[in-house]
Amino acid sequence: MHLTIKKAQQETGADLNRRQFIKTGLFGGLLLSTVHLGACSTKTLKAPLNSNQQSPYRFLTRDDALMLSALLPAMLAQNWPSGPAEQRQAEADTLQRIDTFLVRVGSFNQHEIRKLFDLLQMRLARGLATGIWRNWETTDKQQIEAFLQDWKHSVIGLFNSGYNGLSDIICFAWYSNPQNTLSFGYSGVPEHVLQSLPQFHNATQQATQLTGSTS
Amino acid sequence: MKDIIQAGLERGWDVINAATLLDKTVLEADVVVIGSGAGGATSAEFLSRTGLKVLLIEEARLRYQKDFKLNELDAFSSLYQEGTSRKTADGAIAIYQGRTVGGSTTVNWTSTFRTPEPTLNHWDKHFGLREFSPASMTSWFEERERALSMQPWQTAPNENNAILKRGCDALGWSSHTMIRNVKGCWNLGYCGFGCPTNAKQSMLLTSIPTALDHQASLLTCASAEHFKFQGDRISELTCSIFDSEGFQKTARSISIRARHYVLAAGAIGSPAVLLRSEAPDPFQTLGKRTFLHPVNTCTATMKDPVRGFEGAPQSIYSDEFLWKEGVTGPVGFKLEVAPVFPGGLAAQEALHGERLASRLQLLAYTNSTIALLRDGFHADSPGGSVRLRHDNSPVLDYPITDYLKQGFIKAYLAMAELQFAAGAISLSAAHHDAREWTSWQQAKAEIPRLSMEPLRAALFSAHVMGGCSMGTSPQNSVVNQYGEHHQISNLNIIDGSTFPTSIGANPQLSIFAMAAKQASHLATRLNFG
Repeated sequence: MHLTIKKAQQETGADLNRRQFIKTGLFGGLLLSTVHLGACSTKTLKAPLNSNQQSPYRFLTRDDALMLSALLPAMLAQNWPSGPAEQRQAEADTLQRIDTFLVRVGSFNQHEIRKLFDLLQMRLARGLATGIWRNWETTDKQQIEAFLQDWKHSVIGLFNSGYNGLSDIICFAWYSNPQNTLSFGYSGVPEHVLQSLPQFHNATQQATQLTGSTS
Repeated sequence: MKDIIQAGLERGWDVINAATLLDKTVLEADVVVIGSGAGGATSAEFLSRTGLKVLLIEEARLRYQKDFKLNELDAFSSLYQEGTSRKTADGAIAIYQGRTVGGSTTVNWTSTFRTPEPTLNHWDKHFGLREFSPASMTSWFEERERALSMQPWQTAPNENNAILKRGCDALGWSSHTMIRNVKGCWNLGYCGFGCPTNAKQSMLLTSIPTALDHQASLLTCASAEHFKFQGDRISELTCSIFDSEGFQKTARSISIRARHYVLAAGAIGSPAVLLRSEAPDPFQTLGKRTFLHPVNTCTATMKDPVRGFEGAPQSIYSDEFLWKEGVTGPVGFKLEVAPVFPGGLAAQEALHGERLASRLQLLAYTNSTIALLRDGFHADSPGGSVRLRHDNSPVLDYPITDYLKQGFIKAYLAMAELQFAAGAISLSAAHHDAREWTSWQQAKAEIPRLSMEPLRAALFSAHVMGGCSMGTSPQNSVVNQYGEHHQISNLNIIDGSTFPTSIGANPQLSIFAMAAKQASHLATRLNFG
């Protein structure tokens, strides 16, 4: 599968689209019914598919967290930190930010994202849709990059939307953190503004910034 | 620094978070206004000033200066519809609409334009809207401009906007300085995050405080679900209650009874309330002709720092291509720039991995030029239609017609030519299939080949209009020129949903002036009618 995808990447956009179309034509129906089953079997928005461990998040399951962690290095490329400790910290921060974001997108979007995340965790559906048959933890960055390119350039709207959804959620959560953009010249609100405005003076208010405070 | 909201709350304004109400509570008022954005807040101000008891309801929680901490993730997820995840049904166009007290006026970039005369004349000619002739609107524009401190921006434009001016100058295209609704602006650039200094004269700090000072009540975290009818009148409005943060709907509901109802939930929200109510719609006009000013983007790398995250986000515009080929000819577009913050840039580019990483590394050198297409003036631009999804939430189907596709390509070409003329080193269209171009010749050759099929281009809209069109005939409209519903006798719709086409300019002043005029008419009718 890995080799096939690598070869496909060297093809022109038109060839790639044709190949993708054939793959989806053959398996599309099966894929969609699997997603549908997945959605039906998901009793609540948070119900984990393969894990009975409690999730520390409000929206994400532990399996979502594993999948998103696997996607992070491919999504962020050279901006992803290289040291293991920095990676662990970056992973924890970003998953928390993704979770905060997804809690606020409204129930319709939450259901759509749940279907997408479930699809990416069901072995058969994921394999057919992405070419990734192994567990996320053991899938390397090149395979993930191939899958993202596949979805991005697919002629199937469902995959384009899936690509847009994943890249939006992950890249927005990462790049909207000013700590991750210091070296690009943006370090967040200027110091003189922090000093002068009343909303930045109360330390406890700052700490509850992401969970929101009651009015 | 004085915070108007904090001071008003301390003075005893009647502001209620619906999350604190018991299930099945019943509230009463002379007029209930649904939605606290440009249309609803202006209506609340003009109605309450005449002594009518107004209840203004808003789905979101009250957020104001103390909450505006300029954090991209927090602001975008808490102040916009669907946490900035709202899109057209096919996912092709992202829709940025405010969802907070003050609606989009709380998060907009303060860009102010009177409704262009060609638009008003087109409405008169094609929809019979005599009341909206340029001559009859002038005094309403003037009144709102004074009330909301709308003045030409006196400070030098930031570099992001200066690029637009330089490009236009080099090519002999027209460009102008914008009018902004600010008072004592610090020129920080965070308008889209909720103004941190209370400089922006949004509804949150103007019409809403005025209404509350005139004994209006503000009910937050209450979402209008549906009307109940008795004959040709609304007898009751049912609202669902959100949790105290305003993000999750609870199972509780309340009822509101009023003499008169003003629907101002925006161009997606207003038709949705009527669709859920199964309101009379004999000619199937409800939810139709919804327009977006759909926007496409070119992102350029400049030689010198741009720092597009600093300074007033929009201060220069170009109407060079807006009317060039006639009001009803091929689609015209307005050129503006968008502020360049890291999270927003990442979300806007529809990229990932190495290319996105490189783009972000050049953040401080990035210029983002945008084109707003003037939709709805041609038979091949019929707009979209709002419908309900299985969970009763609204969604917009918006077909990207060939007419619009041609407009996007022309707009990409104009933006690329402009950015190179202003000194861009390289640039790209925000489009899945566009590469980085290093010369105008390259861009000119490749742009016409870009596919405008859904989901290839990164498109967005910050101006949703239409869906409850104004008109003189019930056969092609939902309300008349005063915003009065053709079939329901105690309902006005007063917001951007009643525009019969798009505006052809950032629409806030168009909504303010229309709402002031229509709400004044309604106040007279309710007080003396």
